[in-house]
Amino acid sequence: MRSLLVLAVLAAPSPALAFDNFAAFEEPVTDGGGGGRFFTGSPLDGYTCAVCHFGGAPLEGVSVEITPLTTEFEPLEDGYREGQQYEILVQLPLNTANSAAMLELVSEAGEAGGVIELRNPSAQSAEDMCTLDFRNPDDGDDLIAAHLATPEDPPRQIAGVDNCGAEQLRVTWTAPATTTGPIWLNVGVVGATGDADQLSRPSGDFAWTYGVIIAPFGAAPEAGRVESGCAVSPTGGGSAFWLLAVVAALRRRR
Amino acid sequence: MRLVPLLALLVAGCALDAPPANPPLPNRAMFEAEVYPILMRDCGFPDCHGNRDRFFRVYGLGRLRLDPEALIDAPLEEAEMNESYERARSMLGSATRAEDTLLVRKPLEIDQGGAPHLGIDNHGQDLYASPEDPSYQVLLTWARTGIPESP
Repeated sequence: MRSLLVLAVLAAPSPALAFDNFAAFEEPVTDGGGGGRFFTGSPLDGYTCAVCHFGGAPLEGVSVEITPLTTEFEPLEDGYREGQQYEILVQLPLNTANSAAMLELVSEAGEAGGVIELRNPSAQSAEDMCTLDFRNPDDGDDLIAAHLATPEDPPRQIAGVDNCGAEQLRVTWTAPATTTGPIWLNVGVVGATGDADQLSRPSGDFAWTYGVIIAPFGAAPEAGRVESGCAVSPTGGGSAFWLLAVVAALRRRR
Repeated sequence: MRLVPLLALLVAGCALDAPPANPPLPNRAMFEAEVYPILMRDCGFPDCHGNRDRFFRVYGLGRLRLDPEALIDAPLEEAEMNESYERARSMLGSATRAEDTLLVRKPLEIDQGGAPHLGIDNHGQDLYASPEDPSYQVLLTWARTGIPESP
């Protein structure tokens, strides 16, 4: 039954129901917003972008890099160091007119995993900024594309960029000061090739989701698998999938 | 001859246990104010119940529209609210207890009394972890406005 449903969905591309600006995810659903759902795919927000965005061509150039800001520490593959700062860089797709991204870090206890900070405005590069095609500084529009949301119930931190021509999402992540166990990093990227006409439906969007478990230094995450359900992956290569083994022994967040 | 009354009694007993022929009529005002926002937030995605291929579907701003030609962000039409209400109401017609209806059981974890649901996420979690979830409580309370609790 589910496979038939997937085929039916893929045969009839759905419209791109995109939130052009990051703030829309917190707006009431009755106003067309996300109602506090950010669709990061984290343990606190299990649905991903793919519940709304699918049917489009695969994205090119999307990547996630995590780099220690202090070279004296080992690479992140060996686990996060307590209190260490890392740069998380998400490259947005190259072959699309509209794209956006967001990320979230969650601890095993179901809390924000460390601290996310946006880059200082003076440290922003051109790739971090909206392009003039989307924003008009004469109207007071801010060209900084990245935003940070901090919902309180439960406490979360989500960083994202608007659909405004920025080429990347770049944040500084400070690992927890004391070891809290594995940290989940979840990233969602959406690319849309359609035009801005809300009536003429775009041919489809593509959602790319990324998930990695970052263990504390010296520990190794337990491996396992979690089956996905309603969050159907789009067609083509690069569709949503977990890149690393998922912890089956993690306690459920709730 | 004694069999006839006995059979009649048995049939009556079966009829009393069967779900009602027509869906219940839960509170409409509560649906608009409290239930509908939950359905939009948790269910009304194109890949889920914001899809015409689904029996249970939710219409709304920024989601599925009743008129395929409507603008995505056009104001909500009364007909869309009506249809969403009717669809949700129809999901209450499957049982004689509010707790047993599909609308209430589907988004609940199976080990908490839920029903199999394709809406589990990448972590294997259903929408509501337990009956204590506030959103679950809203759905259940609303269901009870149409299916009163048994004495």
